[in-house]
Amino acid sequence: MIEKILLIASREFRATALTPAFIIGLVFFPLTVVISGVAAGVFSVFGAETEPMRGTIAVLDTSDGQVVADGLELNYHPENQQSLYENAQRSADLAKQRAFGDREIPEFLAPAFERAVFGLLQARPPAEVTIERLAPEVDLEGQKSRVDGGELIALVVASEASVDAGGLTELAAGEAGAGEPSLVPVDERTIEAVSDLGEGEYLLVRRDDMKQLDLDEIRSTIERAVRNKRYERVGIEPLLLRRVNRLPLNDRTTVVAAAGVEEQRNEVLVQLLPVGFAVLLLFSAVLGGNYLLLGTLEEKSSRAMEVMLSCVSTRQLMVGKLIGQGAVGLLMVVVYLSVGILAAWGSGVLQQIPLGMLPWLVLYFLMAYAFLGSIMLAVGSAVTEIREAQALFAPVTASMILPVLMMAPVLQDPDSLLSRVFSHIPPGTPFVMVARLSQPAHEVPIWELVTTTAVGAFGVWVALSAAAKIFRVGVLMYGKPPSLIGLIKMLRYD
Amino acid sequence: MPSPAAIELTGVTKRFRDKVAVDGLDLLVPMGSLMGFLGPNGAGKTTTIRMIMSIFMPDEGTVRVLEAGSAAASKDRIGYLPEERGVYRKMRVGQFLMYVGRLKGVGRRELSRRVDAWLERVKLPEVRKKRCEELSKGMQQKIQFIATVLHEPELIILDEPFSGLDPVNMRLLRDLVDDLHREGRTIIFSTHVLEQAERLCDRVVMIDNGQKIVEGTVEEVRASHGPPTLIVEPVMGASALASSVGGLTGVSDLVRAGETGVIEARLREGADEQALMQSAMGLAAMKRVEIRRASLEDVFVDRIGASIAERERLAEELAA
Repeated sequence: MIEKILLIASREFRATALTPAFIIGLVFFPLTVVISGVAAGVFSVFGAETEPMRGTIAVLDTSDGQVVADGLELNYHPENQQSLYENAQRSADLAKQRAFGDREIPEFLAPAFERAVFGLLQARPPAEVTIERLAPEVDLEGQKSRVDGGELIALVVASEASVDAGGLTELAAGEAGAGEPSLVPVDERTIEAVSDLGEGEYLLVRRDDMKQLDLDEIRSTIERAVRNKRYERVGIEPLLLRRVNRLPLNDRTTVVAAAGVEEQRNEVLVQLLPVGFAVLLLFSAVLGGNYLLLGTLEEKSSRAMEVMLSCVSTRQLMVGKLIGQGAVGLLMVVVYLSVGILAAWGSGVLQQIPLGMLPWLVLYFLMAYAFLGSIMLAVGSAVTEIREAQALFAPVTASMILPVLMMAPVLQDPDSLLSRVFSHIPPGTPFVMVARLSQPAHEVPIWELVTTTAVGAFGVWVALSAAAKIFRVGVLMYGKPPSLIGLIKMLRYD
Repeated sequence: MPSPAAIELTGVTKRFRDKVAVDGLDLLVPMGSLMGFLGPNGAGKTTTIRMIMSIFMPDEGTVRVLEAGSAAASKDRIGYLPEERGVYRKMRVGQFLMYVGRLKGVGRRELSRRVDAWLERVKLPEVRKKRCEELSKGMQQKIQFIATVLHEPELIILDEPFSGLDPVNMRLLRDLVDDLHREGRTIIFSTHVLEQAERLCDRVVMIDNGQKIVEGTVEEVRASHGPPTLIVEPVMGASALASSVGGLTGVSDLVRAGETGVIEARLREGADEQALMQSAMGLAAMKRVEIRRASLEDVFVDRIGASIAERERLAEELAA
């Protein structure tokens, strides 16, 4: 009996896993992720702006202290531009240092790799922009023509209204003031003169073909200047405020464990791991279940099912198929985990991966797969074409969505009552438990491991028993496919 | 001493919701026999076969196969060719046959030898490495037949084995079935081709509406239709000779009185056939004198034809 089950399992595994399509898919998925990452870098390098912004920006600024004109002039001062450029270069070097430490990137890879991966961080050459201040009586229409003619990159018109934030001083003094201050660049056509500028508004005239990067930079420069002036007016030192708000990228934390032992922890990794493991589980279980559905459908539509049933019982056939496609899913888990572990080792964060939970991951994969696979088998046995299966997909969809819905509260607080309750609801048990177990700061009590495993196993048993009944009746049923109600009614057949 | 039964069904009933597919069926297939399982579409043949194979379980009654409580206990000793032919389309022919053979418990090496031998025997030695989907329907059917007998089963059940085959392949398959029977295997097959059943089978059973209509050796079933008829075709004057034929000892009545040049007379029970033929020969110069028994087709049409006509009438009424 076991021998026949293993024979079926072996055929199922080989029919799926040893096909070029599967092998390509298996390698292709992680490869696609890597290639996309590298490609994004490569494209960013090719697409990166290597040309500096060049030209003249004319500014008519009637605000008190010519805030906007000063801000633009300061930003595009050659020394400032050089300094910004050097800062950007340092950031790229820092990012590289964080990723690779002191390890050498292989020489043949270095130029392309660095440009690809850190291309986004590469600095744009310093801008060569001159700020031309305009007198208040200047002919604005004439200045606009200069923009049109390409003599100017842009024309900026600002007034005291642009800087005024509406009752900001009163607000700072604790008196009732206006709402949130805003800065709005306005379309030139809506405005006739400087006096028409509303609170927080400024006028920006530019050619249509201005690069988005240049436009963004001019806007952010103006807005930064206006904000700084506002800080100043309410008595806040802008530099001080920036310092107060600045936080380092919090990706390395020293954690003091219960025994007083300190360890370095990558917080980003810690947050990603539970999601990663749960997604891996869901992905493999869904794919394994999908292969089950397609395999069963193929046997039914090619009428090979009855040949099989002349050799083995429906139960043997079902178990054999489950084992075979389960092995396919497990292969995916192993391959992707191995890739992940290798990547973690290569990045020097292997110690952050809770390797002790890998056996649990396998157990929970089997649980998730058996549950989902049972439903897929039942659906596959009851229909003859894939489009007929879609009408019966409600239980499949529910068993996939439920764990996803459960994940968010579990990730927020793995030890909450809600997390514990979700851990004991079978379709979600494997996913929730994997998410809980893969968080190093949280320890799941032994009794919960026992009860959730027992509840999960019971859920699998119920799903398998129901699937076995439907499978036995469904495999030789042809013609009109049953409805969802019809499928449930099959459970009553002897 | 009677031979042991290969299949023994006692009071077997199977219902699908309100429809009774098989109704209290008793059936005995002796070991070593070649039995034809006959009946119109929807008579319950396939359902009965599936119960014999333990694919369906009976609602009532018992099924014994090869002296075991059910076929589940002796699947490796049974070869089954389902009515709906099916192969794994993407699998190669050799792989498919090896897979089915191994599921039937045959060792890999022996199986490989048998696959080659059988492919040779059905005149398809070149297809072993081809994918099943590359074969014609007739070729696939022959491959399926091989899958049925590859493990040298004691009991072979063939559900409509001749359907869809051309005359050449039909003859090939018929010869193979005959060979397997002569090797001592018990064979039961359902068919609509009554001529094949008459030529091959030593026993037949006819069922309709899930109930047994008639069962026995081919001769017994044919005899159950009534006494044989005497066919007389004189060189000339058939009509004038009709009364003389009707007056012969052992003749019951005339079926045809020579209008078409042929006289056909129904015989009495226990009539001396040899003496009758001699008497008929003496009446006039004859082209033909023969005793004709009812064929299985006659029995089928007589016993089941009315039921089919009634079902078709009811179906038409329902459709209207």
